[in-house]
Amino acid sequence: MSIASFAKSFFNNLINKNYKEIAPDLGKMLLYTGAVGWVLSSLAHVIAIGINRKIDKDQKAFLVPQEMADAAVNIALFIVVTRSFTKFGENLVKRGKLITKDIAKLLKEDAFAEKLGRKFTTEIKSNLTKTFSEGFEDLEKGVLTKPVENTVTKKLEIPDLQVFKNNKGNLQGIYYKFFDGVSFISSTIGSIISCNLLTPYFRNIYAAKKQRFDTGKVTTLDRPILPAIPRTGMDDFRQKILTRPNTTPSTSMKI
Amino acid sequence: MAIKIEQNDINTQAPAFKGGWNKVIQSDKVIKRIGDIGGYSSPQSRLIIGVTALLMQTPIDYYNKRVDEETRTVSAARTLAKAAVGTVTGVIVRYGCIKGINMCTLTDQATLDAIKNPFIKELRQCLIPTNLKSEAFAKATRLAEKHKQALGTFVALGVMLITNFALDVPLTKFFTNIFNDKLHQHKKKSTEAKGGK
Repeated sequence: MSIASFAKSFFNNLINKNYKEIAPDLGKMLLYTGAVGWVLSSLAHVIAIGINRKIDKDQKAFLVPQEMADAAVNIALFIVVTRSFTKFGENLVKRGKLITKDIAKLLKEDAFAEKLGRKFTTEIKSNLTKTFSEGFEDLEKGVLTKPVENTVTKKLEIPDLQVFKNNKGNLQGIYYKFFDGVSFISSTIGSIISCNLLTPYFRNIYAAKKQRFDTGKVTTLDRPILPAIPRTGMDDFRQKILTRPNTTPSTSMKI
Repeated sequence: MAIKIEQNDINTQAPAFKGGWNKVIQSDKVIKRIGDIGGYSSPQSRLIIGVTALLMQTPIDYYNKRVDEETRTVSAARTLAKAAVGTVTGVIVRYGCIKGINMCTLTDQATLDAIKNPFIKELRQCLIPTNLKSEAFAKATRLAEKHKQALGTFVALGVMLITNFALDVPLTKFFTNIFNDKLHQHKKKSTEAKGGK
């Protein structure tokens, strides 16, 4: 095998691996790549601060910890805040809490739920995404208990099952456009809150304390300076022993 | 074929709706707007977060009472420079990566047949997985879009590794000094104006 064909084969394996293993679960991948991106960006900016001669030492003592804390806090808050907001928005749509009139129109059909098979009846509302992917695929495979055309297709003004199947993309398109829109909006709101409000607040607290510590304004981080306990020398100790009161038990004590 | 919807005909008592609160969006404009936003991806997200960072992070640093005035001013100038430079380079890199990925995942047979050069033809399909059978299948399962997003994220990370050091560092340093001088001049003017009253 030549080097070129080996390289091509290796490249194709990477592409296929991305399609099969990484693309189905984008959330984790976005988290890892985001974390790496933040760390690298932070490193670059720490270097930028270090080589900037117009910023004096005391200010660098604040800016460098600020930049390092920025990456750490961003990563933590992305996990806690941004992902929570995104999941919340997606679940609103998946569980049928926030839907469009087109989807509502389709779901209101008891016959539609029945035709998809009993197992989907309770699952429809709990996971619309599953309905619009697997449910429709089952429809195509013909996993139906009764013919569809006289109930669902008539209400939706679709003349026959084939046209209904042809509209699968349209109905899925309607659902997925809405789902993606709500997901984008909720993740953006989460990112704005975590990156632009909470992160600057927390990183400034840490950087200010670090600056006070590094510039010698405090000797320990956030701990007050306690007075030293005076130590006793040998002479003082001997004096105390010689002058202490007699503590031997009285001989008048009777057992 | 478009699906016709009957107005005012939503039965929220149907089995699929039973139990709990739900909100049905009736307005076509709102539905269309949310659908358009669904087409946004990382460049738009970066732009929104970058602009809001300029508007929110800069005042937080400028009015940070935990540090002295000089440090506060430099910190605000640096945040402003970093947000501006990071947003511009971030949006350009992400947009460029998506364009590049789309160019190399061409599945339209008519366009492919029109390409005469075999090398260009292969290049235009080099990022398509070998088991992706048709555009229709890819659209139905959405995996093709997710595949492109995943590839775009990896490529953008690699490109930003270079741009962070080659562009962001020198540009942020340059603009930090400019904004720092401007902020000091502004403070001096406002101090003089207060003293003049």
